[in-house]
Amino acid sequence: MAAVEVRSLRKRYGRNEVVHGLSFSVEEGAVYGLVGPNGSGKTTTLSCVLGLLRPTSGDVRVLGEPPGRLHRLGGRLAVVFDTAIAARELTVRQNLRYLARLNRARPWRDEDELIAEVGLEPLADARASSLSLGQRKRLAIAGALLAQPELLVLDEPLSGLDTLGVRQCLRLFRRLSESGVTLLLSSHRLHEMQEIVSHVGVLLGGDLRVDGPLDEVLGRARGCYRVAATPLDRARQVAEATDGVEVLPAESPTELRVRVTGDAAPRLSRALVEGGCELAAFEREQESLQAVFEALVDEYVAAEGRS
Amino acid sequence: MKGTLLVARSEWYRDLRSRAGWLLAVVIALVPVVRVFAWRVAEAPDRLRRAQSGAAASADELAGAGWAPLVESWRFGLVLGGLALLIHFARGLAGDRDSGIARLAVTRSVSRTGLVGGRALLAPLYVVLLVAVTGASAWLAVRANYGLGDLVVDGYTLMTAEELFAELRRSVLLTLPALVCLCCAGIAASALARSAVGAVALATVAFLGFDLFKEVLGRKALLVFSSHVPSIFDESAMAEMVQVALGYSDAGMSEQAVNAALWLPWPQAVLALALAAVVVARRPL
Repeated sequence: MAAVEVRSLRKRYGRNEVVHGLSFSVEEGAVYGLVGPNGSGKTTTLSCVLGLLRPTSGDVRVLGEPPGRLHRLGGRLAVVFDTAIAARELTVRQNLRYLARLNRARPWRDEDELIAEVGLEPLADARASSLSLGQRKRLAIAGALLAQPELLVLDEPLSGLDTLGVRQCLRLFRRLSESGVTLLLSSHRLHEMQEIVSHVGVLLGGDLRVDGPLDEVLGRARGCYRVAATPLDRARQVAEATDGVEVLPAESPTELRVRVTGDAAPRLSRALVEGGCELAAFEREQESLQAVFEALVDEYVAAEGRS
Repeated sequence: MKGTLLVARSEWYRDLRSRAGWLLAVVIALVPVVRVFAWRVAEAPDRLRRAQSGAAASADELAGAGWAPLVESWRFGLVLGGLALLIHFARGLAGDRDSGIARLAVTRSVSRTGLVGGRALLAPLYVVLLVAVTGASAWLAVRANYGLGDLVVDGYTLMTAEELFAELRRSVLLTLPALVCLCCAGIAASALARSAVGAVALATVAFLGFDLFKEVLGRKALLVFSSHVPSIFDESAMAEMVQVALGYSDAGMSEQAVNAALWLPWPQAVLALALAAVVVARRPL
Protein backbone atom coordinates (compact mmCIF):
# COMPACT_ATOMS: atom_id res chain seq x y z
CA MET A 1 0.00 0.00 0.00
CA ALA A 2 1.19 3.51 -0.80
CA ALA A 3 1.72 5.83 2.15
CA VAL A 4 1.15 8.82 -0.12
CA GLU A 5 -0.81 8.64 -3.35
CA VAL A 6 -1.06 11.70 -5.60
CA ARG A 7 -3.08 11.53 -8.80
CA SER A 8 -3.35 14.28 -11.44
CA LEU A 9 -2.77 17.03 -8.89
CA ARG A 10 -3.26 20.54 -10.23
CA LYS A 11 -2.97 23.80 -8.35
CA ARG A 12 -3.80 27.15 -9.86
CA TYR A 13 -3.41 30.61 -8.31
CA GLY A 14 -5.73 32.76 -10.38
CA ARG A 15 -4.68 32.13 -13.99
CA ASN A 16 -1.25 30.86 -13.03
CA GLU A 17 -1.09 27.08 -12.80
CA VAL A 18 1.89 26.15 -10.65
CA VAL A 19 1.39 22.38 -10.49
CA HIS A 20 0.39 20.65 -13.72
CA GLY A 21 -1.26 17.32 -13.06
CA LEU A 22 1.33 15.62 -10.87
CA SER A 23 1.07 11.91 -10.17
CA PHE A 24 3.36 9.99 -7.90
CA SER A 25 3.19 7.60 -5.01
CA VAL A 26 5.37 6.97 -2.00
CA GLU A 27 5.41 3.33 -1.02
CA GLU A 28 5.44 2.33 2.63
CA GLY A 29 8.98 2.22 3.99
CA ALA A 30 10.39 4.28 1.11
CA VAL A 31 12.42 7.46 1.41
CA TYR A 32 11.06 9.66 -1.36
CA GLY A 33 12.95 12.82 -2.25
CA LEU A 34 11.10 15.56 -4.10
CA VAL A 35 13.74 17.78 -5.67
CA GLY A 36 13.53 20.86 -7.83
CA PRO A 37 14.65 24.48 -8.05
CA ASN A 38 12.90 27.37 -6.32
CA GLY A 39 9.42 27.93 -7.69
CA SER A 40 9.18 24.45 -9.18
CA GLY A 41 6.14 23.64 -7.03
CA LYS A 42 7.65 21.46 -4.30
CA THR A 43 6.18 23.32 -1.34
CA THR A 44 2.85 23.82 -3.14
CA THR A 45 2.72 20.08 -3.81
CA LEU A 46 3.51 19.24 -0.19
CA SER A 47 0.97 21.83 1.02
CA CYS A 48 -1.71 20.18 -1.12
CA VAL A 49 -0.69 16.74 0.17
CA LEU A 50 -0.95 17.99 3.75
CA GLY A 51 -4.30 19.70 3.22
CA LEU A 52 -2.91 23.19 3.81
CA LEU A 53 -3.85 24.21 0.28
CA ARG A 54 -6.92 23.07 -1.59
CA PRO A 55 -5.92 21.49 -4.93
CA THR A 56 -7.64 22.86 -8.03
CA SER A 57 -8.17 19.26 -9.10
CA GLY A 58 -6.75 15.81 -8.53
CA ASP A 59 -6.81 13.25 -5.82
CA VAL A 60 -4.51 12.90 -2.81
CA ARG A 61 -4.45 10.19 -0.14
CA VAL A 62 -2.14 10.20 2.87
CA LEU A 63 -2.13 6.88 4.73
CA GLY A 64 -5.49 6.30 3.10
CA GLU A 65 -7.05 9.59 4.25
CA PRO A 66 -7.86 12.63 2.08
CA PRO A 67 -5.94 15.82 2.98
CA GLY A 68 -8.92 17.43 4.73
CA ARG A 69 -9.06 14.61 7.27
CA LEU A 70 -5.44 14.20 8.25
CA HIS A 71 -6.32 15.00 11.87
CA ARG A 72 -7.86 11.53 11.97
CA LEU A 73 -4.38 10.05 11.58
CA GLY A 74 -3.34 11.22 15.02
CA GLY A 75 0.33 10.58 15.55
CA ARG A 76 0.72 8.39 12.42
CA LEU A 77 1.72 11.45 10.40
CA ALA A 78 4.31 14.04 11.41
CA VAL A 79 5.50 17.07 9.48
CA VAL A 80 8.58 19.28 9.70
CA PHE A 81 8.06 22.56 7.88
CA ASP A 82 10.85 24.55 6.26
CA THR A 83 10.40 27.47 8.65
CA ALA A 84 11.20 25.32 11.70
CA ILE A 85 8.05 26.14 13.62
CA ALA A 86 8.22 26.45 17.40
CA ALA A 87 6.34 28.37 20.08
CA ARG A 88 8.91 31.10 20.72
CA GLU A 89 7.82 31.78 24.30
CA LEU A 90 8.37 28.17 25.39
CA THR A 91 11.61 26.33 26.13
CA VAL A 92 12.81 23.40 24.04
CA ARG A 93 11.39 20.89 26.55
CA GLN A 94 8.12 22.82 26.91
CA ASN A 95 7.77 22.96 23.12
CA LEU A 96 7.89 19.18 22.98
CA ARG A 97 5.27 18.93 25.74
CA TYR A 98 3.11 21.48 23.93
CA LEU A 99 3.35 19.51 20.67
CA ALA A 100 2.58 16.29 22.53
CA ARG A 101 -0.68 17.86 23.68
CA LEU A 102 -1.67 18.52 20.06
CA ASN A 103 -1.64 14.79 19.28
CA ARG A 104 -4.29 12.30 20.16
CA ALA A 105 -1.96 9.32 19.89
CA ARG A 106 -0.22 7.77 22.88
CA PRO A 107 2.31 7.01 24.24
CA TRP A 108 4.85 9.79 23.85
CA ARG A 109 8.52 9.25 23.54
CA ASP A 110 10.53 10.67 26.40
CA GLU A 111 11.39 14.35 25.76
CA ASP A 112 14.91 14.08 27.11
CA GLU A 113 15.62 11.11 24.89
CA LEU A 114 14.39 13.06 21.85
CA ILE A 115 16.35 16.15 22.83
CA ALA A 116 19.48 14.02 23.06
CA GLU A 117 18.70 12.38 19.74
CA VAL A 118 18.76 15.72 17.92
CA GLY A 119 21.70 17.05 19.93
CA LEU A 120 19.93 19.81 21.86
CA GLU A 121 20.73 18.67 25.43
CA PRO A 122 22.57 21.88 26.44
CA LEU A 123 19.59 23.93 25.24
CA ALA A 124 16.80 21.85 26.76
CA ASP A 125 15.71 24.72 29.02
CA ALA A 126 16.45 27.56 26.59
CA ARG A 127 13.53 29.45 25.10
CA ALA A 128 12.86 28.77 21.42
CA SER A 129 13.19 32.50 20.73
CA SER A 130 16.89 32.27 21.59
CA LEU A 131 17.61 29.33 19.23
CA SER A 132 19.24 29.63 15.83
CA LEU A 133 17.38 28.44 12.73
CA GLY A 134 19.37 25.21 12.70
CA GLN A 135 18.60 24.56 16.36
CA ARG A 136 14.92 25.27 15.82
CA LYS A 137 14.98 22.88 12.89
CA ARG A 138 16.33 20.16 15.13
CA LEU A 139 13.65 20.98 17.69
CA ALA A 140 11.02 20.66 14.96
CA ILE A 141 12.42 17.26 13.98
CA ALA A 142 12.34 16.16 17.62
CA GLY A 143 8.72 17.31 17.80
CA ALA A 144 7.88 15.28 14.72
CA LEU A 145 9.27 12.13 16.29
CA LEU A 146 7.25 12.43 19.50
CA ALA A 147 4.52 10.02 18.51
CA GLN A 148 6.67 7.57 16.54
CA PRO A 149 5.01 8.37 13.19
CA GLU A 150 4.52 5.98 10.28
CA LEU A 151 4.98 8.78 7.77
CA LEU A 152 7.29 11.74 8.20
CA VAL A 153 7.01 14.63 5.75
CA LEU A 154 9.92 17.08 5.77
CA ASP A 155 10.02 20.28 3.76
CA GLU A 156 13.65 21.38 3.25
CA PRO A 157 14.81 19.61 6.43
CA LEU A 158 18.50 20.31 5.86
CA SER A 159 18.43 24.00 5.03
CA GLY A 160 19.93 26.17 7.74
CA LEU A 161 21.83 23.29 9.33
CA ASP A 162 25.60 23.27 9.71
CA THR A 163 27.67 20.34 8.46
CA LEU A 164 27.43 18.55 11.78
CA GLY A 165 23.68 19.11 11.94
CA VAL A 166 23.26 17.79 8.40
CA ARG A 167 25.26 14.65 9.24
CA GLN A 168 23.25 14.15 12.42
CA CYS A 169 19.96 14.53 10.57
CA LEU A 170 20.98 12.21 7.76
CA ARG A 171 21.95 9.57 10.32
CA LEU A 172 18.62 10.09 12.04
CA PHE A 173 16.65 9.80 8.79
CA ARG A 174 18.54 6.65 7.87
CA ARG A 175 17.78 5.15 11.26
CA LEU A 176 14.10 6.08 10.93
CA SER A 177 13.94 4.55 7.50
CA GLU A 178 15.55 1.36 8.77
CA SER A 179 12.92 1.19 11.50
CA GLY A 180 10.19 1.25 8.86
CA VAL A 181 9.16 4.92 8.87
CA THR A 182 8.20 6.27 5.44
CA LEU A 183 9.87 9.57 4.63
CA LEU A 184 8.79 12.17 2.09
CA LEU A 185 11.38 14.95 1.82
CA SER A 186 11.80 18.00 -0.34
CA SER A 187 15.23 19.51 -0.60
CA HIS A 188 17.67 21.47 -2.72
CA ARG A 189 20.61 19.55 -1.27
CA LEU A 190 20.93 16.90 -3.93
CA HIS A 191 24.22 15.43 -2.74
CA GLU A 192 22.82 14.70 0.73
CA MET A 193 19.51 13.53 -0.70
CA GLN A 194 21.31 10.98 -2.84
CA GLU A 195 22.75 9.48 0.34
CA ILE A 196 19.38 8.68 1.88
CA VAL A 197 16.56 8.53 -0.68
CA SER A 198 15.35 5.30 -2.20
CA HIS A 199 13.06 7.03 -4.68
CA VAL A 200 13.24 10.43 -6.25
CA GLY A 201 10.95 12.81 -8.12
CA VAL A 202 12.35 15.80 -9.99
CA LEU A 203 9.98 18.74 -10.26
CA LEU A 204 10.58 21.41 -12.88
CA GLY A 205 8.13 24.17 -13.68
CA GLY A 206 5.30 22.36 -11.93
CA ASP A 207 5.87 19.10 -13.85
CA LEU A 208 7.31 15.90 -12.48
CA ARG A 209 10.05 15.27 -15.04
CA VAL A 210 11.42 12.13 -13.45
CA ASP A 211 9.92 9.80 -10.87
CA GLY A 212 11.22 6.43 -9.79
CA PRO A 213 13.74 4.44 -7.77
CA LEU A 214 17.06 6.23 -7.27
CA ASP A 215 19.04 3.64 -9.30
CA GLU A 216 16.70 4.05 -12.22
CA VAL A 217 16.92 7.82 -12.07
CA LEU A 218 20.72 7.78 -11.81
CA GLY A 219 20.71 5.53 -14.86
CA ARG A 220 19.61 8.52 -16.87
CA ALA A 221 23.08 9.94 -16.43
CA ARG A 222 24.72 6.65 -17.47
CA GLY A 223 26.68 7.04 -20.69
CA CYS A 224 26.25 10.81 -20.85
CA TYR A 225 29.14 12.97 -22.03
CA ARG A 226 29.73 16.68 -22.33
CA VAL A 227 31.51 17.58 -25.56
CA ALA A 228 33.11 21.01 -26.10
CA ALA A 229 34.11 21.28 -29.76
CA THR A 230 34.41 23.96 -32.43
CA PRO A 231 32.68 24.53 -34.69
CA LEU A 232 29.74 23.32 -32.65
CA ASP A 233 27.36 22.95 -35.61
CA ARG A 234 29.81 20.64 -37.38
CA ALA A 235 30.29 18.66 -34.14
CA ARG A 236 26.52 18.26 -33.82
CA GLN A 237 26.28 16.96 -37.43
CA VAL A 238 29.08 14.44 -36.77
CA ALA A 239 27.50 13.27 -33.50
CA GLU A 240 24.09 12.84 -35.08
CA ALA A 241 25.65 10.79 -37.89
CA THR A 242 27.52 8.46 -35.50
CA ASP A 243 25.85 5.15 -34.62
CA GLY A 244 24.98 4.67 -30.93
CA VAL A 245 25.06 8.40 -30.16
CA GLU A 246 22.03 10.44 -29.11
CA VAL A 247 22.35 14.22 -28.95
CA LEU A 248 20.58 15.60 -25.88
CA PRO A 249 19.30 19.13 -25.31
CA ALA A 250 21.90 21.30 -23.59
CA GLU A 251 21.71 24.73 -22.03
CA SER A 252 25.29 25.77 -22.87
CA PRO A 253 25.83 27.33 -26.33
CA THR A 254 29.43 26.09 -26.43
CA GLU A 255 28.98 22.38 -25.79
CA LEU A 256 26.95 19.31 -26.68
CA ARG A 257 25.45 16.72 -24.37
CA VAL A 258 25.35 13.25 -25.80
CA ARG A 259 24.34 9.82 -24.58
CA VAL A 260 26.34 6.95 -25.99
CA THR A 261 25.80 3.21 -25.99
CA GLY A 262 28.36 0.42 -26.36
CA ASP A 263 31.72 1.55 -27.77
CA ALA A 264 30.32 4.68 -29.35
CA ALA A 265 32.34 7.07 -27.13
CA PRO A 266 35.80 6.44 -28.70
CA ARG A 267 34.22 6.25 -32.15
CA LEU A 268 32.59 9.64 -31.61
CA SER A 269 35.80 11.33 -30.44
CA ARG A 270 37.63 9.89 -33.44
CA ALA A 271 34.87 10.98 -35.82
CA LEU A 272 34.90 14.50 -34.41
CA VAL A 273 38.66 14.88 -34.97
CA GLU A 274 38.45 13.30 -38.43
CA GLY A 275 35.47 15.51 -39.18
CA GLY A 276 37.60 18.62 -38.71
CA CYS A 277 36.42 19.62 -35.24
CA GLU A 278 38.75 20.99 -32.63
CA LEU A 279 38.02 19.05 -29.46
CA ALA A 280 38.44 21.07 -26.22
CA ALA A 281 36.71 18.62 -23.84
CA PHE A 282 35.13 15.19 -23.94
CA GLU A 283 34.01 14.38 -20.38
CA ARG A 284 31.89 11.63 -18.96
CA GLU A 285 29.17 12.93 -16.62
CA GLN A 286 29.07 11.55 -13.09
CA GLU A 287 26.20 9.26 -12.18
CA SER A 288 24.86 11.58 -9.50
CA LEU A 289 21.55 13.12 -8.66
CA GLN A 290 23.19 16.49 -9.23
CA ALA A 291 24.18 15.45 -12.78
CA VAL A 292 20.73 14.09 -13.54
CA PHE A 293 19.17 17.22 -12.13
CA GLU A 294 21.43 19.51 -14.16
CA ALA A 295 20.76 17.53 -17.30
CA LEU A 296 17.01 17.78 -16.69
CA VAL A 297 17.32 21.52 -16.10
CA ASP A 298 19.25 21.76 -19.39
CA GLU A 299 16.53 19.86 -21.20
CA TYR A 300 13.85 21.96 -19.54
CA VAL A 301 15.54 25.25 -20.37
CA ALA A 302 16.21 24.15 -23.92
CA ALA A 303 12.60 23.03 -24.34
CA GLU A 304 11.17 26.18 -22.79
CA GLY A 305 13.63 28.37 -24.70
CA ARG A 306 14.60 30.32 -21.60
CA SER A 307 17.38 30.47 -19.09
CA MET B 1 -14.78 17.21 19.00
CA LYS B 2 -12.07 16.98 16.32
CA GLY B 3 -9.22 18.15 18.49
CA THR B 4 -11.10 21.01 20.17
CA LEU B 5 -10.11 19.73 23.59
CA LEU B 6 -6.55 19.14 22.43
CA VAL B 7 -6.26 22.76 21.29
CA ALA B 8 -7.82 24.05 24.51
CA ARG B 9 -5.44 21.94 26.59
CA SER B 10 -2.33 22.82 24.60
CA GLU B 11 -3.15 26.55 24.48
CA TRP B 12 -3.77 26.54 28.22
CA TYR B 13 -0.39 24.85 28.69
CA ARG B 14 1.28 27.48 26.47
CA ASP B 15 -0.43 30.45 28.14
CA LEU B 16 0.50 29.22 31.61
CA ARG B 17 4.16 29.21 30.61
CA SER B 18 4.18 32.56 28.84
CA ARG B 19 6.12 35.22 30.73
CA ALA B 20 4.24 37.99 28.93
CA GLY B 21 0.95 36.38 29.93
CA TRP B 22 1.91 36.28 33.60
CA LEU B 23 3.16 39.85 33.48
CA LEU B 24 -0.12 40.98 31.96
CA ALA B 25 -2.09 39.04 34.59
CA VAL B 26 -0.13 40.74 37.37
CA VAL B 27 -0.67 44.18 35.81
CA ILE B 28 -4.40 43.53 35.49
CA ALA B 29 -4.55 42.31 39.10
CA LEU B 30 -2.86 45.53 40.20
CA VAL B 31 -5.26 47.79 38.28
CA PRO B 32 -8.05 47.65 40.93
CA VAL B 33 -5.50 48.27 43.69
CA VAL B 34 -4.24 51.38 41.91
CA ARG B 35 -7.82 52.49 41.29
CA VAL B 36 -8.70 52.17 45.01
CA PHE B 37 -5.60 54.16 45.87
CA ALA B 38 -6.57 56.82 43.30
CA TRP B 39 -10.11 56.88 44.75
CA ARG B 40 -8.70 57.43 48.23
CA VAL B 41 -6.48 60.26 47.02
CA ALA B 42 -9.32 61.87 45.03
CA GLU B 43 -11.74 61.91 47.96
CA ALA B 44 -9.20 63.34 50.44
CA PRO B 45 -9.98 67.03 49.69
CA ASP B 46 -13.72 66.37 50.04
CA ARG B 47 -13.16 64.58 53.36
CA LEU B 48 -11.08 67.51 54.58
CA ARG B 49 -13.68 70.07 53.47
CA ARG B 50 -16.46 68.17 55.22
CA ALA B 51 -14.39 67.88 58.38
CA GLN B 52 -13.64 71.61 58.35
CA SER B 53 -17.32 72.48 57.89
CA GLY B 54 -18.26 70.20 60.79
CA ALA B 55 -20.13 67.77 58.52
CA ALA B 56 -17.74 64.86 58.74
CA ALA B 57 -19.07 61.45 57.79
CA SER B 58 -20.65 59.50 60.62
CA ALA B 59 -19.33 56.13 61.74
CA ASP B 60 -22.27 54.43 59.99
CA GLU B 61 -21.50 56.24 56.75
CA LEU B 62 -17.83 55.31 56.98
CA ALA B 63 -18.72 51.67 57.67
CA GLY B 64 -20.30 51.36 54.22
CA ALA B 65 -17.99 53.70 52.32
CA GLY B 66 -16.11 50.86 50.62
CA TRP B 67 -18.84 49.74 48.23
CA ALA B 68 -18.30 52.50 45.67
CA PRO B 69 -14.51 52.08 45.41
CA LEU B 70 -14.96 48.29 45.38
CA VAL B 71 -17.34 48.35 42.43
CA GLU B 72 -15.48 51.11 40.60
CA SER B 73 -12.06 49.47 40.98
CA TRP B 74 -13.45 46.07 39.98
CA ARG B 75 -15.13 47.68 36.97
CA PHE B 76 -11.87 49.39 36.09
CA GLY B 77 -10.06 46.04 36.23
CA LEU B 78 -12.70 44.52 33.97
CA VAL B 79 -12.36 47.38 31.46
CA LEU B 80 -8.63 46.83 31.03
CA GLY B 81 -8.86 43.08 31.51
CA GLY B 82 -11.59 42.82 28.88
CA LEU B 83 -9.44 44.75 26.45
CA ALA B 84 -6.50 42.47 27.25
CA LEU B 85 -8.64 39.38 26.63
CA LEU B 86 -9.83 40.83 23.32
CA ILE B 87 -6.23 41.39 22.26
CA HIS B 88 -5.15 37.97 23.50
CA PHE B 89 -7.84 36.14 21.54
CA ALA B 90 -7.36 38.33 18.46
CA ARG B 91 -3.64 37.64 18.46
CA GLY B 92 -3.96 33.91 19.17
CA LEU B 93 -5.02 32.22 15.97
CA ALA B 94 -3.59 34.92 13.68
CA GLY B 95 -0.25 34.74 15.50
CA ASP B 96 -0.22 30.97 15.14
CA ARG B 97 -0.95 31.35 11.45
CA ASP B 98 1.95 33.83 11.15
CA SER B 99 4.35 31.53 12.99
CA GLY B 100 3.10 28.33 11.33
CA ILE B 101 1.91 26.66 14.53
CA ALA B 102 -1.61 26.49 13.07
CA ARG B 103 -0.22 24.48 10.13
CA LEU B 104 1.53 22.17 12.52
CA ALA B 105 -1.67 21.64 14.52
CA VAL B 106 -3.79 20.63 11.52
CA THR B 107 -1.23 18.05 10.45
CA ARG B 108 -1.58 16.50 13.91
CA SER B 109 -4.83 15.58 15.60
CA VAL B 110 -6.60 18.91 15.14
CA SER B 111 -9.11 19.93 12.48
CA ARG B 112 -9.43 23.52 11.32
CA THR B 113 -12.71 23.81 13.21
CA GLY B 114 -10.85 22.54 16.28
CA LEU B 115 -8.45 25.49 16.03
CA VAL B 116 -11.40 27.83 16.54
CA GLY B 117 -13.35 25.62 18.95
CA GLY B 118 -10.39 25.03 21.26
CA ARG B 119 -9.80 28.71 21.73
CA ALA B 120 -13.52 29.35 22.20
CA LEU B 121 -13.52 26.74 24.94
CA LEU B 122 -10.93 28.75 26.84
CA ALA B 123 -12.94 31.99 26.63
CA PRO B 124 -15.31 31.28 29.59
CA LEU B 125 -12.39 30.06 31.68
CA TYR B 126 -10.37 33.22 31.05
CA VAL B 127 -13.39 35.43 31.70
CA VAL B 128 -14.07 33.72 35.03
CA LEU B 129 -10.38 34.05 35.93
CA LEU B 130 -10.40 37.73 35.00
CA VAL B 131 -13.49 38.40 37.09
CA ALA B 132 -12.09 36.42 40.02
CA VAL B 133 -8.64 38.01 39.96
CA THR B 134 -9.85 41.60 39.56
CA GLY B 135 -12.60 41.01 42.13
CA ALA B 136 -10.20 39.53 44.68
CA SER B 137 -7.66 42.28 44.21
CA ALA B 138 -10.35 45.00 44.45
CA TRP B 139 -11.80 43.39 47.58
CA LEU B 140 -8.38 43.13 49.27
CA ALA B 141 -7.51 46.74 48.43
CA VAL B 142 -10.87 48.01 49.67
CA ARG B 143 -10.81 45.94 52.86
CA ALA B 144 -7.47 47.51 53.74
CA ASN B 145 -8.91 51.03 53.45
CA TYR B 146 -12.69 50.96 53.88
CA GLY B 147 -15.58 49.17 55.49
CA LEU B 148 -18.18 47.17 53.58
CA GLY B 149 -21.20 47.62 55.85
CA ASP B 150 -24.64 49.02 55.06
CA LEU B 151 -24.83 51.97 52.69
CA VAL B 152 -25.79 54.97 54.82
CA VAL B 153 -26.24 58.50 53.43
CA ASP B 154 -27.20 61.43 55.65
CA GLY B 155 -28.20 59.04 58.42
CA TYR B 156 -30.52 56.97 56.20
CA THR B 157 -29.71 53.35 55.35
CA LEU B 158 -30.20 53.17 51.58
CA MET B 159 -29.25 49.52 51.23
CA THR B 160 -28.00 46.84 53.55
CA ALA B 161 -24.68 45.13 52.93
CA GLU B 162 -26.52 41.93 51.93
CA GLU B 163 -28.63 43.81 49.37
CA LEU B 164 -25.56 45.52 47.96
CA PHE B 165 -23.70 42.25 47.75
CA ALA B 166 -26.62 40.61 45.93
CA GLU B 167 -26.83 43.56 43.53
CA LEU B 168 -23.09 43.45 42.90
CA ARG B 169 -23.21 39.71 42.26
CA ARG B 170 -26.02 40.21 39.76
CA SER B 171 -24.10 43.01 38.00
CA VAL B 172 -20.98 40.88 37.68
CA LEU B 173 -23.01 37.93 36.36
CA LEU B 174 -24.59 40.23 33.78
CA THR B 175 -21.18 41.18 32.37
CA LEU B 176 -20.03 37.55 31.97
CA PRO B 177 -21.89 36.70 28.73
CA ALA B 178 -20.70 39.93 27.09
CA LEU B 179 -17.09 39.27 28.12
CA VAL B 180 -17.24 35.74 26.71
CA CYS B 181 -18.70 37.14 23.49
CA LEU B 182 -15.90 39.72 23.41
CA CYS B 183 -13.37 36.85 23.38
CA CYS B 184 -15.30 35.18 20.55
CA ALA B 185 -15.25 38.46 18.62
CA GLY B 186 -11.48 38.46 19.12
CA ILE B 187 -11.31 34.95 17.63
CA ALA B 188 -13.38 36.11 14.66
CA ALA B 189 -11.03 39.07 14.11
CA SER B 190 -8.13 36.64 14.36
CA ALA B 191 -9.59 34.51 11.59
CA LEU B 192 -10.52 37.44 9.36
CA ALA B 193 -7.26 39.39 9.51
CA ARG B 194 -4.18 38.49 7.47
CA SER B 195 -1.73 38.87 10.35
CA ALA B 196 -1.60 39.04 14.13
CA VAL B 197 -1.00 42.79 14.06
CA GLY B 198 -3.95 43.21 11.69
CA ALA B 199 -6.16 41.08 13.90
CA VAL B 200 -5.35 43.07 17.04
CA ALA B 201 -5.91 46.34 15.17
CA LEU B 202 -9.21 45.12 13.70
CA ALA B 203 -10.50 43.89 17.06
CA THR B 204 -9.54 46.94 19.10
CA VAL B 205 -10.61 49.50 16.49
CA ALA B 206 -14.01 47.79 16.09
CA PHE B 207 -14.53 47.52 19.86
CA LEU B 208 -13.36 51.01 20.78
CA GLY B 209 -15.01 52.49 17.68
CA PHE B 210 -18.35 51.03 18.71
CA ASP B 211 -17.79 52.28 22.25
CA LEU B 212 -17.26 55.83 20.95
CA PHE B 213 -20.31 55.86 18.72
CA LYS B 214 -22.81 53.63 20.56
CA GLU B 215 -24.53 56.69 21.98
CA VAL B 216 -25.76 57.50 18.49
CA LEU B 217 -27.68 54.21 18.42
CA GLY B 218 -29.59 55.03 21.59
CA ARG B 219 -31.45 52.05 23.11
CA LYS B 220 -30.65 49.96 20.05
CA ALA B 221 -27.03 49.81 21.24
CA LEU B 222 -28.22 47.38 23.93
CA LEU B 223 -28.77 44.82 21.20
CA VAL B 224 -25.02 44.63 20.62
CA PHE B 225 -23.02 42.58 23.12
CA SER B 226 -20.32 45.23 23.26
CA SER B 227 -22.67 47.59 25.14
CA HIS B 228 -22.69 45.19 28.08
CA VAL B 229 -18.90 44.95 28.35
CA PRO B 230 -17.32 47.28 30.93
CA SER B 231 -15.65 49.90 28.75
CA ILE B 232 -14.51 53.51 28.60
CA PHE B 233 -17.97 54.91 27.87
CA ASP B 234 -19.53 52.33 30.10
CA GLU B 235 -23.20 51.38 29.97
CA SER B 236 -22.73 47.93 31.44
CA ALA B 237 -24.32 46.54 34.58
CA MET B 238 -21.12 47.36 36.46
CA ALA B 239 -21.43 51.05 35.55
CA GLU B 240 -25.00 51.00 36.85
CA MET B 241 -23.77 49.30 40.02
CA VAL B 242 -21.28 52.12 40.65
CA GLN B 243 -24.22 54.55 40.75
CA VAL B 244 -26.01 52.26 43.20
CA ALA B 245 -22.94 51.93 45.43
CA LEU B 246 -22.54 55.71 45.47
CA GLY B 247 -26.10 56.04 46.67
CA TYR B 248 -27.13 58.00 43.53
CA SER B 249 -29.54 55.41 42.25
CA ASP B 250 -31.46 52.46 43.55
CA ALA B 251 -33.56 51.86 40.49
CA GLY B 252 -31.15 49.31 39.03
CA MET B 253 -31.19 48.23 35.41
CA SER B 254 -34.37 47.96 33.41
CA GLU B 255 -35.76 44.49 32.76
CA GLN B 256 -35.06 44.98 29.07
CA ALA B 257 -31.41 45.84 29.72
CA VAL B 258 -31.00 42.87 32.06
CA ASN B 259 -32.45 40.48 29.51
CA ALA B 260 -30.33 41.99 26.76
CA ALA B 261 -27.15 41.61 28.83
CA LEU B 262 -28.03 38.07 29.84
CA TRP B 263 -29.20 36.55 26.56
CA LEU B 264 -28.16 38.58 23.52
CA PRO B 265 -24.37 37.97 23.71
CA TRP B 266 -24.76 34.18 23.30
CA PRO B 267 -26.15 34.09 19.74
CA GLN B 268 -23.65 36.80 18.80
CA ALA B 269 -20.82 34.68 20.19
CA VAL B 270 -22.03 31.68 18.19
CA LEU B 271 -22.22 33.85 15.07
CA ALA B 272 -18.68 35.13 15.60
CA LEU B 273 -17.35 31.59 16.07
CA ALA B 274 -19.23 30.29 13.03
CA LEU B 275 -17.75 33.10 10.95
CA ALA B 276 -14.28 32.30 12.28
CA ALA B 277 -14.73 28.58 11.55
CA VAL B 278 -15.85 29.23 7.97
CA VAL B 279 -12.95 31.59 7.29
CA VAL B 280 -10.35 29.27 8.85
CA ALA B 281 -11.74 26.32 6.89
CA ARG B 282 -11.38 28.16 3.58
CA ARG B 283 -8.23 30.20 3.96
CA PRO B 284 -4.74 28.73 3.42
CA LEU B 285 -2.92 28.27 6.72
